Amino acid sequence: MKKSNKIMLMAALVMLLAALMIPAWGYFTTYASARGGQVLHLGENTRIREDFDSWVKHLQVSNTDDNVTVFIRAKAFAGDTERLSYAGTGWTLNEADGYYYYGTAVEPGGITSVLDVTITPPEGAEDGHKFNVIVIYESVPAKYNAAGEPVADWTQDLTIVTEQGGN
Amino acid sequence: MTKLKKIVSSPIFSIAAVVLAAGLLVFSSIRGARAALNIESDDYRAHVELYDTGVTLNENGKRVAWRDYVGESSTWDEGSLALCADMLDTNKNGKADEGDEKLKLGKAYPEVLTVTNSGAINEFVRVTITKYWLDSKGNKANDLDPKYIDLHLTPGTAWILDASSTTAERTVLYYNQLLTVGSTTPALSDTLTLSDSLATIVSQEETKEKKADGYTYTTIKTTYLYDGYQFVIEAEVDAVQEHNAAQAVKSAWGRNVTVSGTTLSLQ
Repeated sequence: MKKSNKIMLMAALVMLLAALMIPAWGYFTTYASARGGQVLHLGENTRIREDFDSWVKHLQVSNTDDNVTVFIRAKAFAGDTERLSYAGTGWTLNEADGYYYYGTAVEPGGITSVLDVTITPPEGAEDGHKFNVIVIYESVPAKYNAAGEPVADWTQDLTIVTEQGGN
Repeated sequence: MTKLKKIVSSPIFSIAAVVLAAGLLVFSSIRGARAALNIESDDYRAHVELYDTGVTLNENGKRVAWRDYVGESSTWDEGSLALCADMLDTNKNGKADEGDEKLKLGKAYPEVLTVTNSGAINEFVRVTITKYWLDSKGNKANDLDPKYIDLHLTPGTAWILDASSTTAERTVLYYNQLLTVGSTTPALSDTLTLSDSLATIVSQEETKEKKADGYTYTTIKTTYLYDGYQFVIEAEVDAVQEHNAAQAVKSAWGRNVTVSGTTLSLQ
């Protein structure tokens, strides 16, 4: 067979194979994507301020955190002989637990109004009578309803996660 | 046999073989082109326009990601903006400071996601949503749960949830109608809420210290596990051509679907 014939036969074979190939389909597609988010700040820092004069403790709790809005409640304890009475705008007693609840959420940098705790000594108390009144207060980070209004939830149980693993 | 060999080696046979093969090749090419041209206009100028595919993702009515083919210049017009960037009332005075709104647990922030066909051919589209947490260094925090990032979906008759592809981190939704040129889908989501359960998930560290008064004091330090982490939402919208849509979806996305007229359903 001549060389030119061989080349022509090879060319014919290549074209034949090309013709027999299954058509490869391309489809028109496109895509677009975006991402984003925000940083979550949790944790609260609060501080109590107590002034005492004329048998009255003046309490105020400030929210010293930069980020988290909190709700505050407070309560005072005394010995059996002293009686305590409370007064303060915005503070409400919950008789079930004895706490006074501050009804307004305290924003970062904010402070509650004054809660006055008046101590009445027992009758016949003499000069130099000693007493001990302890104030405790608690805070919880505000939750929000769907409309974005702050809500206090004092009933939530913490889920404590134990760190696992090592280096 | 000798006769056959003689015929095969003859120049006439070779020429005939080349002509025949060339004819077959030309015919097969015409067949493919003819199939592709079924959807084309007779007007060649329109033909070029027809292949301009494009898709746009919108967040709360604002375009946040797009990729449109511009046939005239054979380029892609594409871009994207950050999702959730306008979520908080921040940068009131042009810089981040203490007056900025902070992320509120439990609040339902508007997060209306829609898709627009910004191309020149009709399309079928799907959206893949991915949710996760990043630590302060920008690394993905795989041990934190994306379920607390609640993007409230509004699947109805229009958007179908692909349960087989959906995980806690990823959600895949198919729009079951053909998205015609220039039109926008109904919303696939309406709000984004960070679960208020995040305020109850803590780790505690207990330390004991003997003080000068002789008593041992125990201090329990409680740390919120998700404090300082960033939630992330990713949304990718994919589009395929209307023509041969079922095959196109299978080829491009690997998903078996049934296309009946202008309606798509999952198999």
